[in-house]
Amino acid sequence: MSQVGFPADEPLYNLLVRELFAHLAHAGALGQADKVCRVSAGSNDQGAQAVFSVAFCQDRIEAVRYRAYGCPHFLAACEWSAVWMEGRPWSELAEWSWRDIEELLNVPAAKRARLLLLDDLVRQIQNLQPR
Amino acid sequence: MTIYMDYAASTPVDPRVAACLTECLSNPELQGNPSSMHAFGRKSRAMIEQARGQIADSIGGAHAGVVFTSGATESDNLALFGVAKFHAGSARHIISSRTEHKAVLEPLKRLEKQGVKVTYLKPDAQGVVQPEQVREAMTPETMLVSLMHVNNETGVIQDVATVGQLCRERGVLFHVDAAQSVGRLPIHVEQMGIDLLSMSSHKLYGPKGIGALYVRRQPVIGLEAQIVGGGHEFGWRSGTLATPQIVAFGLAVQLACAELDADNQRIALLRNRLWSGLQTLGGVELNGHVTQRVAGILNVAFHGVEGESLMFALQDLAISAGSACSTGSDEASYVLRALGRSDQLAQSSLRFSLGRFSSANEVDRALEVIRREVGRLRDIGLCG
Repeated sequence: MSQVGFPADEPLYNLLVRELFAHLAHAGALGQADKVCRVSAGSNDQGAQAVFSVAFCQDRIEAVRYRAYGCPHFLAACEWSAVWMEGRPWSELAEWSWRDIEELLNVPAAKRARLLLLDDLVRQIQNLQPR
Repeated sequence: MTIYMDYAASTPVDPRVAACLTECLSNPELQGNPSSMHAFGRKSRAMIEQARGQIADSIGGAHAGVVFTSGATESDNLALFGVAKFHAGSARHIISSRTEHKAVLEPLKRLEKQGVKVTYLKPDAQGVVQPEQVREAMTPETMLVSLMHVNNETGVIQDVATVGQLCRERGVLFHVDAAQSVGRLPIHVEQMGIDLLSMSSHKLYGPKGIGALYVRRQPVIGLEAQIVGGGHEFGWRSGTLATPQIVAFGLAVQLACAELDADNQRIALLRNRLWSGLQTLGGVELNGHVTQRVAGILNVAFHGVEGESLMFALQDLAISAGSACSTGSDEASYVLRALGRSDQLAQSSLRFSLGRFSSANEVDRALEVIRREVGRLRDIGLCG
């Protein structure tokens, strides 16, 4: 076997996807406090579904948690988005772009619909009036 | 270290077979072309004929009926195209099932484009095709029935002996894809009425790249060669024979058949241990018939988890999904869909296949990983 050299294995998911998938730290749900809003999109039949709960503090997004069903790219995208949103002024949500995630996570084109589903979720959050 | 539970995809080479293969590769007396008339060639030829005999004896067939190929896919192609082309112009109907391997379904699709009528029988929810369905589908035009003995995804066993008897009564040729059953179940081609039988070496602890098609010789059946050239293998498959692989394949078949009962008993215990452990998770379902199955294959649907994420989370286990979604395609297993599973459940199904070198320790370690990861995915999911 010493004569056999194995070529490098090309992983299906890039390092960022693998790290995020391994540590889905924002998975879960926030309590039912007045300042918490929930938005949802997708369905299990569509292969991806997520429910985000978002807590606002004045004009800032104080905390984000999500429950999600989907492929590793989708779950990693949910986690990345939660990290991105937390602590940010609500007004900056317009800067969130599924195209950035597609590039960062190297999401295959066949899965673009799942990112658009996430886009729908973020736009729902954007349309919420901070309380 | 990754735990290997993918014996239905490919088995590790048995050390005894590996030693035989190495000996053949390094023995200068076996360097000759087995078609050559000199001493080197004759020695290689003798070894090949010995392997042919080992394989034929293991399946109850005539030695001259074993045609070496590159594997079961080529054997299936030779059987289907070979029979259809030989009989072109006369009978033009083939019966098969929806849960066959792609190595059968793709040639059938191509034959349909060439005007052959194909009936695809639908198995019941347990994955079983009833012989009565075959009888009902037969017409005076039927030339061939092609059914797999053991399904590669579910491990379900088809009653090929009854179908074989039915085919003999009607004078219809019977092809069996036995890639998953040779060495795992007793096979006797004559007693089971099988005219053509596809086999693969790497599913029974032999090397990859070698297989065989058994072709009944008495009375001889019409089969048109698909690879032509020097007229090797009785004119049915041209190409220089791969002596070391064939010799190793012969030994692998002989060992697998000789150790079949002992292997099956041990593997069934491990499979039951795995299934019992999985059931404690809750929200799991067995795909395929509960008892009419081979010892080593367990196909399980996991409720509340997405298939691709489950596969990724279980990357410490070498297992197969019932879907091809890792490439981004959402196509669920056509075999599980044929059994009536929803796309979603088919995608959340995994095939665990155990074999000769599986151990209780591996099963326990695998259960630990599965418990942890399925729990984690369910917790973050919408069922959690």
